[in-house]
Amino acid sequence: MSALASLGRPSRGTALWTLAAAVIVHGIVERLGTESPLSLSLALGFLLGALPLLSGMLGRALPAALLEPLAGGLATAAAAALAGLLLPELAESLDGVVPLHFVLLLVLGAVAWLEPGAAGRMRTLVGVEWLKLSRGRLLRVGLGVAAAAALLASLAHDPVKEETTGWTQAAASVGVGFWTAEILLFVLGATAIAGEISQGTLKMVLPHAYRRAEWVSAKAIALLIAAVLFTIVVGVVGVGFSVLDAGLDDVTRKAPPGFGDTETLTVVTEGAVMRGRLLGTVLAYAASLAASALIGLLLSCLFHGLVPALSASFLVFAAIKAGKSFLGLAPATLALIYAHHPDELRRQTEAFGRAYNDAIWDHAMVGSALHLALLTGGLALLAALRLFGRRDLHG
Amino acid sequence: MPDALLEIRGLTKHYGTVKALAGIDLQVHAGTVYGFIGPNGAGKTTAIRILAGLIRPTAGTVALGGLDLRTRRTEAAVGLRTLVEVPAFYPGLSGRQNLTVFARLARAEQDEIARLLDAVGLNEAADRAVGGYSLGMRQRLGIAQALVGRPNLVVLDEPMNGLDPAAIHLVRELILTERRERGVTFFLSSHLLHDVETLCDEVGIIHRGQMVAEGRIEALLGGSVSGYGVKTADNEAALRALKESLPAAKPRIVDSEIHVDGDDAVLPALGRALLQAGLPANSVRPLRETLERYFIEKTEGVMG
Repeated sequence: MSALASLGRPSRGTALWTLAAAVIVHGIVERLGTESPLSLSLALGFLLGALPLLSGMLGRALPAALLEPLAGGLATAAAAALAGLLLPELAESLDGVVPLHFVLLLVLGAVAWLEPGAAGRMRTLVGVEWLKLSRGRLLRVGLGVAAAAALLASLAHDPVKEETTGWTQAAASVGVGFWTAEILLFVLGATAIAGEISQGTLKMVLPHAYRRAEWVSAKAIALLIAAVLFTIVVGVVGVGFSVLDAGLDDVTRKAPPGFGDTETLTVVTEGAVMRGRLLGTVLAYAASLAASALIGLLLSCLFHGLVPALSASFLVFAAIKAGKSFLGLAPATLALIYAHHPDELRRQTEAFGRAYNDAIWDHAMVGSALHLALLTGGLALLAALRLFGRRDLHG
Repeated sequence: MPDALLEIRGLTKHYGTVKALAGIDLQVHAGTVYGFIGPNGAGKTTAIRILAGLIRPTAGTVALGGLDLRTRRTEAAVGLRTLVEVPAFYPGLSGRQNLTVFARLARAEQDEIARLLDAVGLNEAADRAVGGYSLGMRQRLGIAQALVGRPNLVVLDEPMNGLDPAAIHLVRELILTERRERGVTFFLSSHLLHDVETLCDEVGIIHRGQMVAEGRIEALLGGSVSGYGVKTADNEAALRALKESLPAAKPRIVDSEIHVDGDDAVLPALGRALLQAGLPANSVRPLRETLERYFIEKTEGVMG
């Protein structure tokens, strides 16, 4: 019993930190106003800092009670400072997102607080899920495929004549890379539970002393970590190649020489602004990946076998991605789908990269993309928790 | 008798109109090996699946160490290990990595992995992917995972399935050693009644979703003598004499003995018949009920 009691301590520490930090950050954000880049950076930094708390990837046993809040706090401060310096352009696109994060953190903190020992058990389960995922072939092959797709898109890109920078190349590469990654995240999600039922391993692990909700949550966290990895790989390959190949500088347009004048070069959009937009696009894609993984997880809970779960995932993916062509959905309806905005943002980034005069950057889209992805992913996760918790497993 | 480690009360499971379990009660005491037997479709695996938390009961309770397994699973199941039907593992991971997964779940020390791999004879194959393991090797790895992390109750569903005689001996010894040296309690479902009789202290017989007998094996079988085994100087001649004088006792030769049915009332008539034939008994021993015969009697002849 003493071992059980000690598991409650890291949980309480984690919960206290999460609640306190959420309140502090929210207070700062409220005072500074959401239009301030710094407030947004602080919120983003806090999310980064809270990630180790949620995933339980830091520390083990009792010192975790001290390590986690400390690590979370340090990461928050460092990430906030860095984000404030590097991403001021991104901040304006994320208005309205902060309060939602605050609510989410409050809920997470409350859950950790109410369930003694949950943090310790989650730490174990996330470690186990990550061990299975990282040692399995699917993730490694998937990361390689997504990287290859992004690289091939970069190599195959055909710039327009006037183009002197690599923005359209980067946007195209990121688009193809994330399209591939999204399929793979659907597959990873769909195999998370249905795959374990099919191969019989679920009946081996489920009898251990964990709640079913904790199993599903741990799988969700492992999938979110995988989504972050895919984002990093696609982002690094897609953007990195463009930096090395054509460079990501100011978008310019050559003005033709007039009578007796020389040719002039006009800066249409500054490189820093374009970087913010591309990062916003990548962020929207990352949120979309996370939501896709959680929808895959929900489908995994619905079906008994791997083949039906995978088939359903491909159908859902096709419906989401090709809603316009196959289902004849209107733009207004498509705008309600979490995965629509990232593609739209990529198209806008491409248009700006070509220095089109009529291109209009929609600031609200990044925020909308995050909201929709959070809503979809959150609902999918809640439904998965509910379904899996009540299900008899006969396989 | 000490308090029960595992206590099942009124456990019921319905699948539509089919009653897989019709309110079973049983108790397993700490430090014992409990044999859970019954014909195919009797409800054994359903009960074990409920214990393992894989399916939800329609009614009834399962308490482990006094804690309800359904409502307080995170506390109650800390010392519970199960092996339900055919063991399955992550095929891309090695035997050692698979055991690492289970050791982490059980919050066990990592050095226990090497001890268990050695105990089940899988040391040499430990770093090979489990995808290439034979059924017997998987079964042994399944036994190892069920023993990781100092369990207090190990539930094994047909643990001897797919094992060769040497491996069966190894598993049998492992169960007895774990019970003796670590005080582990076992809940064992098996069709091999000889193994159950050899290993178990208590048995529960389930038939058509109901417990038809439960208790210590010697209490269930020991009180009843089903017949006698007699040795004489000439068993063939003695058999002819007994067939004439005691036809109702169904005399027959089994190995080097003459077996007759009946309780102690048959003894005087048996002695007289042999003396009249001039073949006095060299030895007489009571034939006790076997678990197999008892099982068949309780399940109306339905064999597993």
